[in-house]
Amino acid sequence: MRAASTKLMTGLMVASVVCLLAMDFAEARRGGGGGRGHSMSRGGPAASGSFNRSRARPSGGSSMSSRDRSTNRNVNRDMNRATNRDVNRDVKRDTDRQVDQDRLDQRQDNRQDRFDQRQDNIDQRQDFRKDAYDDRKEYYDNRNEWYEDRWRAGAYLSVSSWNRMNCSYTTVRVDSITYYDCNGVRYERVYRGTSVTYIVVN
Amino acid sequence: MKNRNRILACVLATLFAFNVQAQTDADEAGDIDAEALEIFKEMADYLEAASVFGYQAEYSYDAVQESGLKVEFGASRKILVSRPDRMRVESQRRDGMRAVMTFDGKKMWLYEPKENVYATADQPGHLDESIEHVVTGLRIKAPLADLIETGLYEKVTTPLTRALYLGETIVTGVACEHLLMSNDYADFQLWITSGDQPVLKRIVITYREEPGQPQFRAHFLSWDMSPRDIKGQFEFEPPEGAERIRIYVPAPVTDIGSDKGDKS
Repeated sequence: MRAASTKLMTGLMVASVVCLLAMDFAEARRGGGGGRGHSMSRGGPAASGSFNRSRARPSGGSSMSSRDRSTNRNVNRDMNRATNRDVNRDVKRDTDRQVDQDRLDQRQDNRQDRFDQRQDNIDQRQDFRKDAYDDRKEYYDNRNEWYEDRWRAGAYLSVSSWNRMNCSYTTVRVDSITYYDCNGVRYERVYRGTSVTYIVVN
Repeated sequence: MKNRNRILACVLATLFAFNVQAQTDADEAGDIDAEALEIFKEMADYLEAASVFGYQAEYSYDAVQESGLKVEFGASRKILVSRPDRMRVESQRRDGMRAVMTFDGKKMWLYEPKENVYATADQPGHLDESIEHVVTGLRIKAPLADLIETGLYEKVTTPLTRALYLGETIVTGVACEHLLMSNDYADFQLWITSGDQPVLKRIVITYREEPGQPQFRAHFLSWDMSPRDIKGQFEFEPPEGAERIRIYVPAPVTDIGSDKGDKS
């Protein structure tokens, strides 16, 4: 009975430690927290206190979603224009002139040919746009992964979170840089903005 | 008959276009108040003419969370400027973190007393270039750095879509001129002290084009336009036992990328 109780207690302690470590590591991956209380993002353009966009967002990039929307809008606009032009032209011709049946049939055939040709062109343009979109998407997906990789490598802890971990770390000094090994994760103490933080370097 | 109708339609369209243009011109003229620009220019010129000055201010700003909630953070700052190339910024965030940034004319130094760590980087030139390097190169935020750099009036008023003089107000017992200005990105309200020493008493910047329209606010506690005892204020000698650490520059922010911002 006593042995079973000891095993249970040991199991609970191990589970607690694992849980705490997991929480701390998860926090590191999220970007750190500060002491007690919920972690909240401190970033954003208002932190810059700048009058202009260039300073508030020093390295802004392009948005894939807006490009997608633009592409879709262009496709729809082209198709609508083509369709509207055809409809208007047809109405005008049918109401303004009297033609014999043969010429009408011939014109209808021609019109159908032209319509088919335009439709082919539209389809072709759509295919080109789709290909271009797929290429761009693949490019941005790759970039996204690259940024996520960099983000994972650049995850960080604030000093208060680091202290709260109460980690019995070891230090390694390489080329005058001190690295901190804690729970299998290697950190470097750096300035990030004007704040001292511990970033994950492995 | 058809032609007459067409001519009539053209004349009406032209008249309508002229009317719309005239209305737009009137609106634009009505949104730029010469008095507001004059008050702002007096302050900008006054600051730019000062070779040595300092101020203390309380900053706060909204950080818009992924959930859309806005959380306020802030700091106290004490700034001392000696043109053309010296500056000292002492700041303490509300969570207690302290930072001292010193531009000694050749190098920029960052120091955190509690951790006893420092970092340094070359100063590329005068304060304008140095601040630009710090903000865009090292990704260190420098709120209201425009007040220290030259060309404040041009930077704020180019391009300007609105400048209104809202009248005299009292801010914490000090008589001020209240202005509202806008550019294509943000709206800013300024309270500039009345009299022959026009300086900012308060500023609120609303980032109108950003999600959640976050604000930056600064309340100026004091200005010193002729500070004494500045000797040694722009020098930094790493204290004994202080460890030098590196400055980490995060990956650029993009809509697709993932610089998540500081957390606290």
